[in-house]
Amino acid sequence: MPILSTLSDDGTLTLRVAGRFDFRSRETFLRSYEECEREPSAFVVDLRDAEYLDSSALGMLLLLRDFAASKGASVTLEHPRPLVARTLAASDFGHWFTVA
Amino acid sequence: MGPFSPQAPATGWRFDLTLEGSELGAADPVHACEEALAEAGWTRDSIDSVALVVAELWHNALEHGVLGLDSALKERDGGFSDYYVLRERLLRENRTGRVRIALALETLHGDPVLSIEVEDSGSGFDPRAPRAPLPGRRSGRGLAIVRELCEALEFSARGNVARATCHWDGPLPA
Repeated sequence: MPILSTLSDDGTLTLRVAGRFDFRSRETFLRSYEECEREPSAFVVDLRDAEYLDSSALGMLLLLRDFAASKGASVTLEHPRPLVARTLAASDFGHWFTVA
Repeated sequence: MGPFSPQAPATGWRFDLTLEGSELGAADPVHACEEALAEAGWTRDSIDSVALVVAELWHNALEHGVLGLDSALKERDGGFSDYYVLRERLLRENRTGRVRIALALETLHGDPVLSIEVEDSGSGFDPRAPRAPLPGRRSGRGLAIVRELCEALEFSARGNVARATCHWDGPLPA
């Protein structure tokens, strides 16, 4: 699964994930935010191109949330497709993330 | 079939797949199931939903059933990565495990449904044991996703046979 990461001038790191988001994306996903050249002030995961997220991807999003929280930053999940939105809702992720 | 067995096997469509030993690490059964559904005329969006159900049940069967991995490892510091490193090692060493996946068109209360049965050679588990995920945990959400996307999910035998029932979302075979 490819991940496009973009760091904007205001310090927001956007991770755009495409295709199937599962454990096989683990190392790519970790690197996409741990090896950022500047420390981001906010994190956005853009899900418009994600076909599905499985339970291991949900675990990875919680790891990102822990990482962001340790920097005092927030994580927003954006543009989930219907199946992804359903998966997030079934896992009560609205409690942990802003889903936009 | 008596009144307590509303599921009657239909002859219309069935896809079976069994993976053993070293095949477990090499094969992609989720992709194989997707191709079978595409051939049966299912649309991309409907396939994605079933593929997610198959992926969750397959990963449970392989990781917890065959390989005996414990998700509690994911909750430790660095444990999430450790879990998948251990998964790779156990898969390489595995010689004896087996997972069977069967998709079938059946009828439930007169409606066509897709049954997804996943059986592993492991020692099973007690599905009645309380295992609600703590809110911030990094694991334990797979079956909640399956229940959200399916009409029913049940375990049988010693807990090593999972059976999910979803809407049949493709054309019916003539």
